[in-house]
Amino acid sequence: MGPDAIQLLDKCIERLKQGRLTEAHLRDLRSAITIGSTNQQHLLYLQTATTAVTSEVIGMLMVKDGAVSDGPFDYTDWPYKTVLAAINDGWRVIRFPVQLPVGHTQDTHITCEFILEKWEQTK
Amino acid sequence: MTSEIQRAMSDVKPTMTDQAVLDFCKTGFLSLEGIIPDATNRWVTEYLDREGVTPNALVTDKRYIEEVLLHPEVAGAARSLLGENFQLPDWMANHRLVGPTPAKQWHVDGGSGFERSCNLLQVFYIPQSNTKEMGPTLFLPGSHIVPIAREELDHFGHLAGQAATVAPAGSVFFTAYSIWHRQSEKLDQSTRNLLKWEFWRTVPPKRDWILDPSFDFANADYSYTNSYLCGPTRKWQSVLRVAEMFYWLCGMKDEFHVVGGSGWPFSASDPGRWATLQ
Repeated sequence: MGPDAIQLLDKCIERLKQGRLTEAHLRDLRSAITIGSTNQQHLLYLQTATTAVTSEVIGMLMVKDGAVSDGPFDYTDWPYKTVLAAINDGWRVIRFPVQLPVGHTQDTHITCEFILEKWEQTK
Repeated sequence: MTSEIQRAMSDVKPTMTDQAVLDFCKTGFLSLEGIIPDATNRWVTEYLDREGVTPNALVTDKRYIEEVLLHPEVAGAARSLLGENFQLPDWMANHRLVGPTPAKQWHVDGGSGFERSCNLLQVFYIPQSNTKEMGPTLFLPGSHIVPIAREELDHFGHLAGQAATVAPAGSVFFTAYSIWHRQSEKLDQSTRNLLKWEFWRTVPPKRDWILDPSFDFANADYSYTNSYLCGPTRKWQSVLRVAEMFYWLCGMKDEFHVVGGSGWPFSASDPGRWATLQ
């Protein structure tokens, strides 16, 4: 649900309290929710050196506008150097690293990966 | 159909030093930029551009064997890492790309065991200059001894510390077999040729490259990290892997012993020496 729909929902609650809520108001709310559902999900995969959100990003892949992108070729041009920087830019973490570094052996490669999402209006 | 197996002659001279061999153990990657002469690059490119040619025919082409496979720097690196009489390729692939081409996934080739040994080398040769826009092959130095499932690699995009075959014409790249690699996205309209083959060991490993009398096994730096393999555990993980591979290459595998702890090599605590210390 987008910000417009939430605003409308809050108005409906207020009207309900005041006994002024009508079918038309609810239909407006329905339309706002339907418009919101045309938003598209973008995904950002960030591999990091450790499980901390401040850890350095060491690998990236993005799914944006329905297409998979490796991101910029050169590390210096990558959009985010930490997960925290991505969060501060509106990305929302939907998966934290699932492999915890319990296998502290010389053979174990631990991939610490955050998956983040962002919803934007379909172009 | 069988093909005659060809081996390098004993007069091929090694070109790598102790430190260079140790560096290869760390990275699994060796880049020799622009070593093949322009005249060779030209005829190889013209050959590959002909319709209907098979790159495999180059395996038995005397001119290709002499000018590329046994080029002193190419053969010298192979001689250093694989020993005398290494086997020349019995196949040759051309990873040719025409026009824009999507990237391929990161992967390790079939049969990769991330072993701390070196019985074969993958070799890549670009007869033309490669730019970032031409879909260069990407390698992750240091990954050849870092076990990972191919399925996990499949969703990775760009990785920090990746090395690309962006280099002048006539460059040759050596890798350990299990190195993580991929073809990056090709953006331009050009035609890109990338010849690939393997050299094989035919003799047991031995420290018979260019020896440095001052090389100190006890105090050499066996650790390796790059921008990707940079986490707090990566450095100590690398030490044992790299040291084991280097000792194997020296033909000293039996002298590699790990008793535990964070350091290597060990002195009195070396379990291989327990019998001599009593």
